[in-house]
Amino acid sequence: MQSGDRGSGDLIERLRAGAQAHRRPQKTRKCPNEDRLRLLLPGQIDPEEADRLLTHAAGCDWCGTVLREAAQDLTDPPTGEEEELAGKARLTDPVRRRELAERIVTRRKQTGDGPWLAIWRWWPAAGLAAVGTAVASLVFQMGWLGGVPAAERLTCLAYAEHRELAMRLMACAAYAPIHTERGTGSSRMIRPDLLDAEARVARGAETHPNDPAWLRLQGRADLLDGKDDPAIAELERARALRPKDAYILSDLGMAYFQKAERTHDPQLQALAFERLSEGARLKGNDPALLFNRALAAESLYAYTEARDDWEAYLRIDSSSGWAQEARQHLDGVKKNLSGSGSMPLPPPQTR
Amino acid sequence: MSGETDAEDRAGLAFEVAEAPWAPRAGEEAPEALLRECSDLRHTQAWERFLRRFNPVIVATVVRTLRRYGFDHAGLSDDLAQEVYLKFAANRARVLREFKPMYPGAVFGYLRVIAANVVHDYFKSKLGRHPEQAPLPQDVAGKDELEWQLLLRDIDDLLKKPPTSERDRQIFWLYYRQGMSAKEIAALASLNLSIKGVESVIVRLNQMIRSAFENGER
Repeated sequence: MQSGDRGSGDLIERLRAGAQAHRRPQKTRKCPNEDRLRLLLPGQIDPEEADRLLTHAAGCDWCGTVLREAAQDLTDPPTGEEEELAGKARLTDPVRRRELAERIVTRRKQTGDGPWLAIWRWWPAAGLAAVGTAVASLVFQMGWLGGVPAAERLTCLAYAEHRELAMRLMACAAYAPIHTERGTGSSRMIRPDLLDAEARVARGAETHPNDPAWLRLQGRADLLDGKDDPAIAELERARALRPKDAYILSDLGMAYFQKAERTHDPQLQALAFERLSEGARLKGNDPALLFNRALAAESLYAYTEARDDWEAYLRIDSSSGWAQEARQHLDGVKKNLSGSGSMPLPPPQTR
Repeated sequence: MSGETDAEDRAGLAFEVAEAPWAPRAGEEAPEALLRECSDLRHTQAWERFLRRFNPVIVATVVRTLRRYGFDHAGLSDDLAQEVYLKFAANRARVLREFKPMYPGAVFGYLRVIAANVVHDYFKSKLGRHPEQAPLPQDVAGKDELEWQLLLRDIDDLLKKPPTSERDRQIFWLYYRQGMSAKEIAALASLNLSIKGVESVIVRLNQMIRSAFENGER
C-alpha cells in the first residue's frame, strides 16, 4: 500500500485509536533514567538534555507512560483523603519534627568539622602552640591518610553489596554478581552501605576539597549512586590535579563507560577506552583495569583487543567469580571473531 | 508562534494550582529562601520550618505515588517521607543546592518530584517493580498495526520538515501517541509553554497534517 493512498479522512482519529490499541510499554536499554525524566516537570534539566529526553519519551511507550503518570500525579491537586493522611503524618507532631531537624543538622556536624579541627583550634590556645601544631598536624595527617583507604573500603563494600556496574572498581577484589535492576539515585533506605560510604567521602572531601584522592572517591560515590555526570566532573578534576594516577583513570573510564551505556554515545565509549588504556599503561597487570578495558573494547567492537585483554586477565585470575565472567566474555568475543557469535556487528561507517 | 511561550502564563498551570494550599502565607519567608537556608545544614530551626512547611506536600506526594504500586499504608508513607528528607540532606544537601528557581513556585514541583523519585526508587530496588502496566498484547504486529505504523511514519516525516520545530514535534507525539493532555504537557516546565500554547501547537500541526494529506503530499 502506498502511503499516499491513505488520504486524510479521519487520519488523526486513526492515529489516536492506533496509539491506544498498539501501545507497547516496554523498557529498553535506550530508555533514560526515569528520575531524570520526571525532573522535566519542574524544569530542572538543562535544555540540551531536556530535548533528548523529550524526543525519546515522545516515541517510547514506556517513558511516555512514566512522564504521563508523573505529570498526572504532580499536576492534579491533592484529594481530600490525601490531605487528611498528610494531616495525620508522623511529622505533624512538632516534637518529631524537631528530632528530625536535629538529626539532620547533627549529621552534618558529624560529617563536617571533624575532631581533628577542634584539636587544631584548641591546643594553641592552651599555650602549646608549637607542640600542639606539630602533634595535631601529625594526627591530622594520619587521620587523613587512614581516611582515604577506609572510605575506599566503604565504596568497595557498597559496590559489592549491590553491584550495578558491569565494570570493576580498582582495589576492590570481592566478587559480586551484577544486579539487573538499577537503582537510580535515591535508594538510600535499602542501601545503608552506600549511605555510609557517601557520608565518609563527603566528610573527607569537605575537609580536603582539592585533594585528588578524595575527589576520586567523591566521583566513585556518585558513580555508585548512578550519577555519571557529576562523577565525570569530579574525576576529571582529580585527573587534572594528578594525571598519572591509574586509580583515577580507571574510575574515570568507568564513569565514561556508564554514561556511554546510558546515552549510546560512541565518543564516550572511545573516551572510556582511552582513559582505561592510559591507566593500563601505568599499571599493566591490574586485574580491574584489564577487565574494564576488555569491556570497553567490546563496546567499541574492537574484538581483537577485547580478546587480548580477557586472555591477559585470565592469566592472572583464573578461579574467581570475575574470572568466570571474563571466560564468558572471552567465549563470546572468540565466537564473534570467527563469525559465529551473536554479538552485534559494528555499525556501518558514516562520514 | 507568538503567545505560545509565556513563562508568566505558567501561573495558571496545574503546578501552581496544586500548590495553592501550601502557598506562602503573609509574613512567611519565600520557599526559595528557606531552601537556601536549609542547604548549609547548620540551622535546626530552619529545618523545623522546612519540615512544617513542606511536610504536607511531601506526604501527599508519597501517598499518591505509593498508590501507583497498590500500597496504602500509613507507616510506610511516614518512613518514606523521612527518607525523602534524608535525601534532601545527603551529600551536603546537594538536592537543595542544585535547585534552580525557574518560575515562581517551582520549588514545590521540584520537591514533589524528588519525593516521588524516592518512592519509585524504593520499589524498583526493593521489589524490582514498576507501577502496574496493562499487559502487552500477545499478537505480533498485525495488518492494522502495520498500517498504523506507516501512518506514524508518514506523519513523522511531515513533522521533521521545516518550519515545524523539534519542540512542536515532541508536543504532537506526547499528545497523540503518549496520550498526555495539554494540561499535562504544559506542566513540563522544560517546554515553557502555557496550556493555551500547547493547544495552539496541536491545532496548528493538526491542520498542517490534514492539509498535506488532502493535497496528496503524502
